[in-house]
Order: sequence, then structure tokens, then C-alpha cells
Amino acid sequence: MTSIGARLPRKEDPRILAGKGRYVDDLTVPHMVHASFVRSPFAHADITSVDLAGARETPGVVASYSGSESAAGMPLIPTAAADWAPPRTPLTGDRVLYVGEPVAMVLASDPRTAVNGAERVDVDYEPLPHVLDPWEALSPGAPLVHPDRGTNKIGEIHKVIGDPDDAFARAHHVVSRRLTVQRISASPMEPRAILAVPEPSTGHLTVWLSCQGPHTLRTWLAHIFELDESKLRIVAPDVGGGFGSKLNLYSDELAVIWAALELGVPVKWVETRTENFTAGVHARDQIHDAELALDSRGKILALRSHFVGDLGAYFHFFTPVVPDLTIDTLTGNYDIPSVDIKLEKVFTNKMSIEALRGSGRAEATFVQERLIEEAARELGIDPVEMRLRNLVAPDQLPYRTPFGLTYTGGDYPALLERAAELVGYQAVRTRQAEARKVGRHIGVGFATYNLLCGFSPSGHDWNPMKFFPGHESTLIRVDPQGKAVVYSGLCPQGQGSDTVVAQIVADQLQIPFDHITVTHGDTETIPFGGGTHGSRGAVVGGHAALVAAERVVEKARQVAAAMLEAAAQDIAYEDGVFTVVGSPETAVSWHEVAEEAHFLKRCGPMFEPGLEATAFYDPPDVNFAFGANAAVVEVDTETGKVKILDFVSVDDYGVGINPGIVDGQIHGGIAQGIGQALYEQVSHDESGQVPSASFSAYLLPSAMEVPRLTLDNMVSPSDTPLGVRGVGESGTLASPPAIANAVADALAPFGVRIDRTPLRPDVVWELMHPE
Amino acid sequence: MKVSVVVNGAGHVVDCHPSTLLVHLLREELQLTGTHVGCDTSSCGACTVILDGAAVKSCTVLAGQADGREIETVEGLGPDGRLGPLQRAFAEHFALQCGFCTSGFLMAATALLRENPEPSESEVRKALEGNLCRCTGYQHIVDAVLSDPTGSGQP
Repeated sequence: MTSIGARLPRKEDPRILAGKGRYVDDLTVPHMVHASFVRSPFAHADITSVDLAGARETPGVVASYSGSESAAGMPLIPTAAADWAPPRTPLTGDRVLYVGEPVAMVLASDPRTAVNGAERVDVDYEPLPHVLDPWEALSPGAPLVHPDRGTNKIGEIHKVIGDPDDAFARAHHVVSRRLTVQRISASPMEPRAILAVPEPSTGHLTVWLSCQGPHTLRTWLAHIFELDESKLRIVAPDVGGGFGSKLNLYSDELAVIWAALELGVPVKWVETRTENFTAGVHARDQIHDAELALDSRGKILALRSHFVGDLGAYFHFFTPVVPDLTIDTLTGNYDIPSVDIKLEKVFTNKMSIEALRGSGRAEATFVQERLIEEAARELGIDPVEMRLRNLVAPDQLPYRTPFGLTYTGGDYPALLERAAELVGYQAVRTRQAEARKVGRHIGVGFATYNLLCGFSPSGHDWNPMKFFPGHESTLIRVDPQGKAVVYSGLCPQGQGSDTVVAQIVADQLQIPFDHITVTHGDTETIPFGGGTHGSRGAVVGGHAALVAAERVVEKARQVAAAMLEAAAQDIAYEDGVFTVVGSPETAVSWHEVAEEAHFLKRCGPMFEPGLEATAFYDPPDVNFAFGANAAVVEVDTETGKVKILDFVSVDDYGVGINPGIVDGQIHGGIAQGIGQALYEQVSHDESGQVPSASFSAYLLPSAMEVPRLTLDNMVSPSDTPLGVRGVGESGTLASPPAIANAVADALAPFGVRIDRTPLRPDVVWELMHPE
Repeated sequence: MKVSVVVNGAGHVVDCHPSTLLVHLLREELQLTGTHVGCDTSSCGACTVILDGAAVKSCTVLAGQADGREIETVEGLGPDGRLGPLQRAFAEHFALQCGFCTSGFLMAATALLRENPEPSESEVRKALEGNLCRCTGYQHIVDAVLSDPTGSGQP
């Protein structure tokens, strides 16, 4: 009986397919009021007055608050990842630092009345000079986002390893580019949503929150509001996508909680899509001045990148550490002995950047793979051959990167060769040549990736965040019928981890998959865990489930030993039956053991009653997953439109627990990568407004833009009991550079440089027509 | 104003404000919360329902415009609260992840399959163009719709 590896249907699906999912906006409680926010229309301004009279006169409005009236009573919001954070309160009192910052809040009996009331709040602003460009922000005399600091520079990290200066001095060839990874939005289909339910008589507070991990947010909430953590409960019901954007407690969410505590009534707020684009976190936004030093055969001698990370105006939990991830992943799967990497982090008058599926590593992959592609072109080496000459070879494993990461598995050249084979590389070249004769421009592009994932061992360098546990938890409780309820610390937003966890537990307990119920996302019932992010579900949460299940079986073995009058070490467990080794006729079933464990009718008090176990699993190390992508595109040189003709992904995620779920993760990641490559950009105009703040301006790929994807995989089990690596973010890393490389290949005859994404039709057209 | 609608075969008379949108009538007055709101520009399709046989975005229909008409939502797709063939095909093909967009896709695909029982892949993709999914990359959704759930094309 083995569930791991089986394409079992998801436990999550029947309820959701019937329309019985339960997202925060679907919840109602008696006496609930609804919130709406007044937000800054300025990128930088002093608030000179806030007049709430119009809102208060609106029939149905229950209360209204401004930051200028209430900020003194509101707590400061800390960051998880730095000693110092810009002071931030739930509602801003005196000065706004980005468009969308909440300055006032109106509560009313229904959501539309709250919006109407908010529209009648009168705020006067005195606009201040603002700064949006990170280079300008670093230059002398730039407007200061936080004047007290005297600079917009947040900090600098400079790593020089090996001898890069020497490598560049003796290089046969140097390729240099300024490469930009634009600011994008996670855009989960469910916007943020919260329902805060206070119980003034007992001092308890329950917060229903669309989030990615309730425990750490409970600790933060207790910390911020100076509350007793044991009286706080956070519940994540069904969560409609997160992708990193729901790891936080945001200002407006804290204002909702603050109001619920002030008024003593339940307060609900559901974000609009426009708000999600302005007041929800952004991501990426790095500019790299990057170069490779190469010998005459195309072997990379050194990588240099001096880059800037535009972090926006405030810190959310991970803001200051996201670009740090880029540094140590910049060499990817390539054997590069010397590096010179400098990161400058900068404040600007924009919303914060934060974690987003593949964060930090996607930027690194784009830079390394665009550079290698350009190096191949400039040296006249085939781009696949160029990569094969530089990829870490299997006989180099275990391989220690310049940054001290150790790769122990995988065959990176084989993954790339397989991608080239599946995309029909030589046939595409023939087709490309034929097409050129009739004025059509087809291109093929490759990229490889190495996904640092499975965050993160406690105490490890990768886990500097305060109040963010590296471990994951699982409690398994078996009832007298022998069926199990699994309480997982993961907090999925569509990843299907209830199913994955059930598959792991089913194999250990040797009971049917259908006899296992998995529950998650409630601090009242679930042991303290880290939640779902950073491709950690299977490799961290899965192992917590594995260890808990092993402990349950161990307990069951003791019960069976008592029942069979044998020593526990002499009890074998196979196919759901406990036997005494050597006398297989002496047996008890799982069901009999489960019943005896609770009622002790046969053995009496020979063991502690009950059949359950809890495990907290802290991973011994981070993990790595890797792969290669190939894209074939056609560029319409008349309109600039890029069409993806073919897309191949060959991935090594170690052991796959459920092929349907794993393929879906890769498909979804690639679709987001296609969006990043071709369509998506959070744009700011000169005034700092966000003209891209709707789905009619910020274009997510639809079923028409995402082509049929060809997937294949190779399996190199990780050094963990389950052999899993990680897959949640895999698709997002190599897809943007593979597509950009294909566009560059298609447009090679025109001498066009592809140094940034998204490659929207207007952008490509302008590249083709530089005048 | 009073609005009279038939939803999933059952008649309702609802007293609502003239500015009420159909999606809010469904979610808030009739507690049919399987239909979701994902944007404010009628771009995402999470709120798709079937109105007199045609897939519409219920965030761009006033409740009053639905007066006297017949509406189908995800809650009415399966017989007696069980899953219908298209819903089962979605499960078999891993066509949902977070599930927030799913009811919109189910309703858009239902309308397609009634009109065109044996669509090609490009016809499926075209019919689903008005529905956004951020999780799946669409391939498993397209596969589910192409799987001819009932053999007759009737979902």
C-alpha cells in the first residue's frame, strides 16, 4: 500500500466544486460592521487636516477614525527582519509616503455605506517632493523618504569571493548589461480579507484572516497590541491564493483589528482589487549592472553584479531581506569561481516590495540567464553548448558555491539536454531559418534554475526573521475506529497540502487515504507552525507529518505488544496488521489496536491511553530543486506582439508525492513567469500614482496567453527521509529568462537588446523602432 | 425595489436597493456564496453565472436587470447537492487549486458545452478568456473541459 507518488484526487476539491468553499468574505457574524478606507492620493505629502464630519453624517455609518486623531492610540508596527524599521501605524497620522497609504477608516452597517461614508471624508494634503527612481533616491539632494535617517539608502551588502578583479583583468571577453526586473504584483484571485471578532466580556479576540500562516501572525498581533497570546485566535479558512502577499499583517488589517477592539463589535473588511494593487505589497524591482568574465572557450571566470533593490517606503515582514536572497543565488547551477556582488537597498515613495513566489531567486535567475545568453551570442557559441560548458557537472557534486551553499544532487546538464530534446532544438533552428526567408521571426530560448527552498532551519543564516519559526508542526489523532485526523501547521492557499499530508500519513499508518481527514489554519486547534511559503510544504510540513505518523505507529506498536503479550520490539506492522515476529498467526488489526488504545478492555492499564502524537520538524538544512526551461516564440515585428509557440519544462523536485498536484504547481508557476516576461508591471506615473491598478491595466495571462506546456521530470531524491525537494516556486524562476532569451533570439537580426521585462507589444515595438 | 428571480430552479422575491448588483443579491440576500468577487472592473470572471442560458459576469448586472429571469449558479450545477459531471472532471484533472476562480470557470464552461458539446482546445481557451486563474496555468482546466465529461457534451 503506497499513497506517495499516486495521483490521488484532492481532498480539498468536492466542497469547493460544490460552491461550498468558505473564504473570509463568505463569513457573517451577528452585529458585524464593515470597514472602508480613505487612502492617500499622493506619493509624499503632509496631512494638514482630516474632516470626518461628512462620513459621520452618512446614515448607516457607525464610526470613523483618522490617523491624525487616533494615531497616538495606535501601536507601531515592527518588521520581522531588521533591527530598525520605519515607524508605521495602522492609520497614518501626519505624513503619507506612498499612494494608497491608509489615512482614515469608516465603519458602517454594510459595505456600500462604508464606501459612501469614506468618500465623504475630507483630507487636506500639502504635497512634498517625492522620489520614485532608486538611482535618483541614492543621489545627493534627493527628497528623503525618512528625513530622520538623512539618506534613502537602507543598507549595502558587498560580497567579493575568489579573485574577480583578476578574472576580469585577464578575461578573453567581458559581457556587460544593465538588466531590470520590473515591479510586479502577486495578484491572488481573492484579495485580502479580514473579519475581527472581539469578545469584550472575556477579552478574547478571533481574527478570520486570508493569510499564509496564522501562528506567527498571532504572535505578532499579541506583540503589536500588547495582548495575551492565549486569548487570541487566528483562523485562515479557505484562502484564495497568496503567493507571498499574505504573509503579513498590513496596516489596514491592523486598523480593522484596532477598531474591533475599540468598538467591541465584529469588523469585516474585504479589499478591492484597486486597493490590492496600491496597498497590497509589490515584488521584484531590481536593477542590475551585471557582467561576466569569460575565457576564449566561453568558460565563466567571474560574475559581477552591482545592483539596487527598490524596497518602497516601509518594511513589511520580509521587505529588507528579499533582495539578499538574490545575492547568494546569482550563480545558480553554474560553476563560477569568483564573484563580486554588491546590493544597495533603497527607500522610495512606493508601496513595499515583499516576498512573491520565487522572490529573490527569480531576479537572480533572470540576470544570470540573460547574461549567459548574451555571452554565447557575443562569443558565437551555441547557447545550449555555452551552458553545458558552465553547468556544475554531476562529478563535481557535492559542489560548494562561492556563497557556501552545498549542492548534493541532480544532473543539471542532463536536465538542459532533455529540455533541448523535448523542444526539438535542431528542428526549431531549421524552422527558424525557413521562417526568416519569408519575413517571420521565430526564436528559441533556454534557461536553467536552482531553487533554494524549504525555508528554513531555525538558527540558520537563512532564517534571521524574528517570530518566524523554521519548523513545521503536525498533530495526528487516531479515533477508536482507527481513522485519523491530522492537524497540520501548514496553511495552504491552493497548494493541495491537505492531500499531500494525507498521502504521507496514509503510508505510515497503513490505513486508507479516505480514513484520513486533514485540517489546518486555526491557532486554537493546530500546534504552532510556520505556514505555507518558500516551497516548504512537502519538505518541511511533509516531514512533520511523517515524524508524527511514525510516533503514532510506535505507540500503536506498544498497544499491540500488550495485546499480543510480546515485547514491542518483536511486533511487526505490515498491511495494517500487527504480528509477533516469527508467529504471524498471532495478530491484531489496526482497528483493534485503535479501540484498545482508548478503552483498555483487554489489557488493562499497561500503557498510557490514547493514540496520538505531535511532531515539530525543524529541517536540518535548506533544500534545492532544479530544472531547465525551453521556450519557442514568434515575434510579430509589425505589432511587437510575442506569441509563445512551445514551452518545455524539465524539473527535478526530488520525489513527487502527487503528480497531479506537482504538475499543477509547475504549470501555475510558469503562467506567472509568462506574466512577468510578457505582460505584468506595476507602473508608477511621474506623480507616483499607480495607473496599473486594475486587471484592465495590469494584465494577467489568460487561457489564451498560456500555451499548452510540455513537462518532464528527473528524480534525484533529496537527503531527507521523504526524498522531496520543493516545487511550489519552481515554475517562476527560469520561465521569464527563457522567454526573454527566445525573444532576443528571434530579434537577433535586428540587433535589439532585451534588457528588461515585460516584453509587451508596445515595449518590443519601441525596441524595434528606437527613433 | 422588488426583484423576482428564479435561481437554480427556485423562485425568490427580494427587496433590494436599485443599485444592488446581481452578485450581491446572490451572495448577501440568498447566501449563495459560491459566486465570488475578484475585481472591480469585470475583468476576472470569478462572479460568472448563467443568466437565461448565457454566461454573464454578475458584477456587471444590476439585480433589477435580472428581474423575471432565470439564473444558474455553481450551487445548482450538481443534482441534489452532488457533483455533476463537469465538476467531477475538474477534480479528476486537478483543475483547481485555491478554488476562488473555480465557480466562474465552471459556469463559463457549462455555457460553452451546452452551445458547443465538442469544442476544440482553441474554442475552450477562447470561451474561458474572460476568466482569470492565478494558480493553475489553465492547462488542467482546459483538459477537464475537453474531457467530454458526460459523453454528450452536457455538463
